[in-house]
Amino acid sequence: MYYSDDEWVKLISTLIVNPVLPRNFTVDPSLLKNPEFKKLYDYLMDMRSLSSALSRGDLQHFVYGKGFILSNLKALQSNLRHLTWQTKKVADGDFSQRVDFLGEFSDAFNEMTVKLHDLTMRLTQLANMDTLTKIPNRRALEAFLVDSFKNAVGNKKPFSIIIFDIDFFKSTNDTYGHDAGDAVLVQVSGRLNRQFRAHDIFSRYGGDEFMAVLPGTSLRAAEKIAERARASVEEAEIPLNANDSIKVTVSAGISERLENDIRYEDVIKKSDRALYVAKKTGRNRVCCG
Amino acid sequence: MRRYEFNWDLIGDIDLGRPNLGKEVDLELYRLMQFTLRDVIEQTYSTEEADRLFREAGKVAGKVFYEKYINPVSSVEEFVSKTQKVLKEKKLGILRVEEAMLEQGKILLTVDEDLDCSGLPELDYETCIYDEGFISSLFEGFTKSEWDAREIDCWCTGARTCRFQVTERAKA
Ligand SMILES: [Zn+2]
Repeated sequence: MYYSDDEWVKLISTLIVNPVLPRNFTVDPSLLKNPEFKKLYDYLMDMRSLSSALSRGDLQHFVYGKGFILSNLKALQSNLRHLTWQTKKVADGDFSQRVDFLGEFSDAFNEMTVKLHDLTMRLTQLANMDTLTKIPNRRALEAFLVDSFKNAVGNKKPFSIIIFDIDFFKSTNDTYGHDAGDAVLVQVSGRLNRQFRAHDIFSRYGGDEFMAVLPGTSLRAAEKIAERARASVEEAEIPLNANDSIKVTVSAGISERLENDIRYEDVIKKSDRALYVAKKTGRNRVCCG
Repeated sequence: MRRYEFNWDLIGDIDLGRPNLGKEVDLELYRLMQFTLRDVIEQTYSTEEADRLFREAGKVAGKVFYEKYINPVSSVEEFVSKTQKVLKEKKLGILRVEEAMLEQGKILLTVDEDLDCSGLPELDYETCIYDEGFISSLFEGFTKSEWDAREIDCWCTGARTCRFQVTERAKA
């Protein structure tokens, strides 16, 4: 079959331009035997199928032809696929993802991940903080206990726990009121907190109880720290308002992990017993379990 | 007794040895080395054998590279992000993930500005055979099981992009 120049132009333009190929569209089979034509024909068909897949949002359509237009379409496809993967990572909480290949979209995406990161950090901080005393709460404490205890067992490192309790807190509360009680909690926790290092945790354990966990610290060293902390409270004047202040004291129980303590709860129990002894034997003192 | 079994000592102390010229070398000359070696191996053996040897060499490189620059990593996320970071820092290429189904043993990667083939004319065959070995070894290092990497597509759009299908042999 012979194609006139006009028919050629019509054929190629149909392949490139027509949204849908005409129902009766055929190409002369003998023409397809010409390798150069076959190449062009395949190229145009790949272009049609890939661009149409992309316009539908189908990112699974792969073609293997090369050349200017197909390569550009493939680059777009690959970008969108990579972006899909990155978005999944973000959904999994990986906010370090950044995009640098999609113009304005990159800026928007990056702004989103930065904001998500900041927001998550803020929320995590809030979720782990005691609202009154602004020190770590029980939830943060438990997470810390799990990790640090495992670490101490694995590396055969010392591990100590101090529990502090404010002496006669209930009567302070009853005598001066809840606001005064709150002021005492804030002041006392602030003073105790200063005695600990960045890799310890000092947290609100319950009502007027505070717990410090000291990884890598032996009982003897922990005792010194607890004693210093106790003394720092004893010597302080706690202001309740513009005119009044009171003095309070704390008792503390300490213990360290021994060979047969297989859970951190075992260490807490010993510290708790030591605290009980401190209370029984006159308060304002540190006892070791 | 082997003379050339690879270890990093063979490469020597580059900082000490090139106080004036430094670590960098013209990429053209790196490729000159690769392509002439390939030429000679093909002439001596065959095209298939040249490809096989290049892939094997890439595998050895990926193995020692993983140990030196990627290990230790504790999660897939860390493995991917660390690999991306190191490959970019070392100017080997820009690695991106299109699909990662590690459990099913199927990964689709692209590498932009690849060390071995960026800027090459568009060929009818995929040429990054050394990279195939290299990439499969990175996954072997991380998972401790056998992987194959195949360059399934390679296209020029300014920065040449290579697309690699990486599959776990046991799950292929
Ligand atoms: Zn390539």
